[in-house]
Amino acid sequence: MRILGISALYHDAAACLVEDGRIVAAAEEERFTRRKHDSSMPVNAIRYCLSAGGIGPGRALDAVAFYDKPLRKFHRLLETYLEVAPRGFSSFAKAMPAWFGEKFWVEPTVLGTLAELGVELDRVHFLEHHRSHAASAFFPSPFREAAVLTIDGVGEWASASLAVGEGSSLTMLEQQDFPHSLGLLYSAFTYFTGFRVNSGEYKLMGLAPYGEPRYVDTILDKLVHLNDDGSFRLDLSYFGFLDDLRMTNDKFASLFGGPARAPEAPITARERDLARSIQEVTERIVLKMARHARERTGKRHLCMAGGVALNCVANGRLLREGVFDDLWIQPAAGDSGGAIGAALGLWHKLTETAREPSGEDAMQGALLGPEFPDAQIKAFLDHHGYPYRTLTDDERPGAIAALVADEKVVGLFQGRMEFGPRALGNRSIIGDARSPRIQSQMNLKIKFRESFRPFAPAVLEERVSDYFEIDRPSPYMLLVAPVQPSRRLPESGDEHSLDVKAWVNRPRSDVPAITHVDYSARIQTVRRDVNERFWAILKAFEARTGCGLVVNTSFNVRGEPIVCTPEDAYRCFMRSEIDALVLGPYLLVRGDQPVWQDGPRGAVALD
Amino acid sequence: MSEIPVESTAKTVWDETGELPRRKAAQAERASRVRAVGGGVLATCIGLAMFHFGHVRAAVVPLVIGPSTIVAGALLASARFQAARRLVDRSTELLGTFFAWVFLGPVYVLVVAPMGLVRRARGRDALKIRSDRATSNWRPAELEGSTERTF
Repeated sequence: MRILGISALYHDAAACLVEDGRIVAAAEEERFTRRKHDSSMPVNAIRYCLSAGGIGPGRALDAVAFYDKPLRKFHRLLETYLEVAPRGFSSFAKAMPAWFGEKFWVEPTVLGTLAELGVELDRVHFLEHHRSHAASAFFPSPFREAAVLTIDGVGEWASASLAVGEGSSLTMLEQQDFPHSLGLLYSAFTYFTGFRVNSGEYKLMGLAPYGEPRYVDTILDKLVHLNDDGSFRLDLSYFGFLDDLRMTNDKFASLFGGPARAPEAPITARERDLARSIQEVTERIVLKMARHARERTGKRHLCMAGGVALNCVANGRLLREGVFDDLWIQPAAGDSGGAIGAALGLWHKLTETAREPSGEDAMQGALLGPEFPDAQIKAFLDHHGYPYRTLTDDERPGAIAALVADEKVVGLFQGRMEFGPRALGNRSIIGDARSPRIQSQMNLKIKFRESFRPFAPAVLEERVSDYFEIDRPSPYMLLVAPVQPSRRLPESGDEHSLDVKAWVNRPRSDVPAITHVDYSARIQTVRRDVNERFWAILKAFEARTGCGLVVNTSFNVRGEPIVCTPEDAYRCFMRSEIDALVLGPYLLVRGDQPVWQDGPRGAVALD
Repeated sequence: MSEIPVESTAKTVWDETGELPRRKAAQAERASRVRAVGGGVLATCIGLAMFHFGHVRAAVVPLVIGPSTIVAGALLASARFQAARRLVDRSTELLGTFFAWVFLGPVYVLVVAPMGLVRRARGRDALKIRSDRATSNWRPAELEGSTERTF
């Protein structure tokens, strides 16, 4: 049985194809349209998934699953407007055209899109939003039984849910409802500190270690009434998201000493402290929710999904606190992963097939997107006359490792594109983590992003404990752990008085480019049988330098989705200051390339 | 269950030479041009009508937005006009907001607001904003509805 899963119309639209319970393909629409967080019906992602599954004449699609229930969501919206009336008109006037324009017509739109692609179906299945998240967390997990916790902004009504998975069954147990939402609380602070909601949350998380948690008590006294079981009530008089187009209101601003930071304005101590404080509160809430999940289900393992599950600092703390024996987080934990959950959830519901986890997760390293054959890449390079050198399989890892060891920044394009927000070695920019200048260089000259943001290491799985205080794999960059004390350099004590730029440039360990100011790192472990080509590069780098890790950041510049095609990769290479580009077996060096007419950055807007 | 093993047919290599993304982009651009010009004409007509019936001040808004949207939409024919593209985007957004306010304002004032006020006067608190704090805010999960329904 072949099922197409779709998530769309809010943010991060995506499609996924499941065949006989196995994920065949998955991709986000933004990668094809080049519009970050593209929410439109994922026509291109659907087309790719159908192509990857060979769906067409003689090979039918059996069902299509959408990741939420639109009318139940509309009901919540209507209740909200009735609740806040006579306020709320600006939000009402903005929301209604979108509903009448597209959100009411999901079924005909999906069926029409499929018909255009030559696939005839007469029905779309709809799963609840948090059930889709829970299914995306449990069914691909390596656990036979687990508690399942999903936390995000809001689905239909639920903002968080607790479920239990056993074999092929997934039973939803409890939910916490909108507007009392951890995702929206975090997004409110994202907005207030001058970052973009639904995309800047990870910036806020990266900013947190620079601050002091001096607003924690204020948040817990005034904004959040937190119960022992992790459920909570927000004081809505401080927030604007019910009746306005802003996340916070003037009362919120008064509480924190002034108006929200304007986007791109300098970051002050207040924003740093707010970031640290909301991070601390978030971790406390997640921990309490997890303890409640353990008590309620009695399970030893926990699966997580929903946008809040992308908070890898909270995830790392959850692991260290030992509430559960082990933890598995869906790598595409946000709404794009809902496509996987919808497809897998429907497949298990319709087939009731026994589920036998093999001990490995079923995400295949999240390498579920398109790949491009060498001949196609070569044709692209030859057509444009871009100079390149062909590397054999044997010399490729060594050549790349030599460039990285020479402090060159390398764009890496190989194999299938990753699904989810992280680049895991196939659409990555890599650099030497031992270099004290790489973080600043990559942030400012290559990614064109804020200087405070940390980079993540990709480390050989067998060497992870040599570098970090963690005893298990983290293949999807979803766990943060401290750098081993033996590798740290002592603090001078005046760090908090420094501005962010000065602080970030101080080396903190023998791998300074990936050590955040609190000595933490967001880890990706690399295993040979999951991504052999990337593993070989790390192994060659280790053989050359003795260091088993490199900096790994996504292959894009700020405001742009991760590259998908060889053309995207070349354009990004030429618009930034990446030193070398590896497209499959072909090595391109910046100095050899013709002058790029588009200029740096091109027309990409800031995120 | 499928009789064909996945491995035998699964194709992960994607051929991007299919013209769909580019064709869709071209279609979207054409649609945006049509929307811009159509919306501009409509706004201009409404503005002229308002002017005709004596609402001179209010007519200024559609009479400024409308013609500028038509001009920008026409300029979009050339891909070189990035500024025109941005102007069209902004103008269509403004037009959308304008029409939304014109059409939805009466609905909100005559239906939503009175209903909301009556419900609140009757003590309804659907979002649990005003009710007493509870020791737990978890509630039993909603029953799983049929996957064939959108609600």
